[in-house]
Amino acid sequence: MPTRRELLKAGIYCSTALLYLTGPKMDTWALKDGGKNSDGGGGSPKVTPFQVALPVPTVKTPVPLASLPGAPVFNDGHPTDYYSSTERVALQQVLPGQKTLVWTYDGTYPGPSYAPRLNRRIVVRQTNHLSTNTVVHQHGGHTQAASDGSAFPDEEIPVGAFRDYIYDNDSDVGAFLWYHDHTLDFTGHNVFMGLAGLFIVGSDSIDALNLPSGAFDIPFVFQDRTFDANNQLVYNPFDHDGFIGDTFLVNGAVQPKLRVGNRKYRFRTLNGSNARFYEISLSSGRPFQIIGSDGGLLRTPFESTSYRLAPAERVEIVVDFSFYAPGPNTHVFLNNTMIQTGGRGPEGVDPTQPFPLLRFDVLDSVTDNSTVPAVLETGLPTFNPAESVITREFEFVRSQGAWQVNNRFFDPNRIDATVKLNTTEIWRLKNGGGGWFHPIHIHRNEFFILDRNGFAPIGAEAGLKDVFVLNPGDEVNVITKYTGTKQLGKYVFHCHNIEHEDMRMMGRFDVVL
Amino acid sequence: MRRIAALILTSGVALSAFVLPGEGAQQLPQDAPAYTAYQRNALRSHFPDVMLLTQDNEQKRFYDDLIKDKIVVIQFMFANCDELCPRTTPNLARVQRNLQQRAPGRVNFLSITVDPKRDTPQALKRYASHFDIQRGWYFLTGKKDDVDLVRRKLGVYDPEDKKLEHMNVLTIGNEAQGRWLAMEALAKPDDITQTVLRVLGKTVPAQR
Repeated sequence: MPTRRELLKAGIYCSTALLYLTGPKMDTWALKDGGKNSDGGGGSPKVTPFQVALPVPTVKTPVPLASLPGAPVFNDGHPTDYYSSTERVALQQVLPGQKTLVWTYDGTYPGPSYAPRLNRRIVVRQTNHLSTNTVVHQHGGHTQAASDGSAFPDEEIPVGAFRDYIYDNDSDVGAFLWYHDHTLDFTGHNVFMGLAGLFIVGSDSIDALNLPSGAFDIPFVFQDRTFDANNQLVYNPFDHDGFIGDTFLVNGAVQPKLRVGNRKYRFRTLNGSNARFYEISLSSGRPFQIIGSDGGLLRTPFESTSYRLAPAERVEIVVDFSFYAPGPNTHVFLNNTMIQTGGRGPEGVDPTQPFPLLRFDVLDSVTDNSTVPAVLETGLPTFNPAESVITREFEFVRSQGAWQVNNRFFDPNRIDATVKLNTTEIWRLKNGGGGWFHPIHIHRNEFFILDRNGFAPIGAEAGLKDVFVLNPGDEVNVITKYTGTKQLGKYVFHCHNIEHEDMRMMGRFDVVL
Repeated sequence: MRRIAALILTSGVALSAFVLPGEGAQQLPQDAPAYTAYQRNALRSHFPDVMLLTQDNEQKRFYDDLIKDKIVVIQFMFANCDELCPRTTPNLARVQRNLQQRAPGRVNFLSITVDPKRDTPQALKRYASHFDIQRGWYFLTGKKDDVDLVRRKLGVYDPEDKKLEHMNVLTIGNEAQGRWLAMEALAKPDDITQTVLRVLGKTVPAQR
């Protein structure tokens, strides 16, 4: 096992390699301008990795309905839990020394997690004590339009006001979702400053699987950031290619460590970065089980030694540490081997340049009664292409220095697609070229990929998805059925490279009776 | 096993004033208003204080005279453009008229030529005369290096110097609030107006 000094060297070597591998390409000016700003060129204060324990966001507890005057009350027989959250700035110890000002849900970055049960409704009152209007999006949820947080300016929470978000949690299956800011034109800044948290929908059938649970079920939010000389986050609103940071955080901590036992763990991994892609693997090279995708568990798990994670994508894995002898020197690293120096997209995987995001310290000898069954989720929906009433084409294209869908920019008052409730649709998502990568996110529904460039989806892409990476030249057909009588109204779909989204690479679709 | 530490925040932390290189004394951000000031200060390097000339041959410093404390809509154009600019300038003129009703005198328009060699103040004056331009709209030219520097700093410069690249992008900002965005110059005038009003801090009324 490498010593800390070796790893530190490796860490420095890797960051040098990232710069070294930057070939001459367009738009690299953004990496050079701006001094200490957040455009990737400043050079954040150097941090010795693996000094802090991985923080795990706290799980929110409900509040009495009586504490939320004016909150919606339901008489439909479905139970409802109520929560209260405040959007506010906070000072957080992210780097050694000076604390960092972050924008938070309820005082922490990332925000607290919501962990409702499938089909149990929750209401979250979000009170905005920030300096600007905000919108809160539940990413991956089958959410009523008024609570979806779809970037419409007339749905913003004004400064000093609150909005009650209703989450029915009535998807087909439990899933590892998240929530984050979605304010039109300002999402990049707001998410960069910290406005993101986890939303984990559990179910009895998932519990019955006996997967690793409780303390052995841990989420990882991967994000990259750049800090100025005062340890502060400073967003560059003039970098429209996509923010790429030079410091890697998991759950808001820079390259943390996690003490584990010699047993199986379930890790729920989210790429919460604005524009960075990751390729995740273990330093030991050992395979792990991939068990879940954006919209829930897979029907069957499969073994892999690495996986790609695009912005906003989720992949759930089970790592078995019983292969390692517990001890003070037993370290396994969770590595990123994706090279990316600009917002255009990843430049490729280089397994010889692993960058450690997190260190597992395999210390404890423990027993393990958990299992990874051969069949995981049996409640996944089926969407029949023969029932599709329309195939819509959306081309995501760079034009005149900005990003468009079907040669148009997002206009919150223009409907780009009208979907009839209870119909099945196929959406053909196409990359318009220029060498750009676009991770496309569609609100309201989970989808299955029918094909990617004519080939059936493989790996975690065969599961339920709400983010679809368009690599250069890609054409991806996705299918869903728009069920849910509560979920009528206006929604959006967009590129989840948030800087592209903020330049309005977004469309509006309305679901109607 | 579950680790919750490190996310618990202490309140009432005393912060000493810090000195940023070249920026004078600057309080580190500890609340929302201080963050706004900090962000504003951090973005200062994006506004080079180069000397530009208006269509009336007046000298204006880009930062001190045109950006500082102002709410601006910045367009890049050139007078001989026969593709996008002939449509974007009248589009912006409608936005200016909208804003004169909704936020009179609050918003300045800056149309900066990307062809400063040909676009003299006189040429820009002639160009501006084709449109219904109100007070608070400056057509600006300058040294090519200075104009290119402004374009680079605002993230709307094409390395291959294709004139039309980024020509469809408006930069809209509220300097005092440190709030900046970019959007389509050919968006509907109402959409642009609404966006400028949001940058001004106004709430958009609900509509379905």
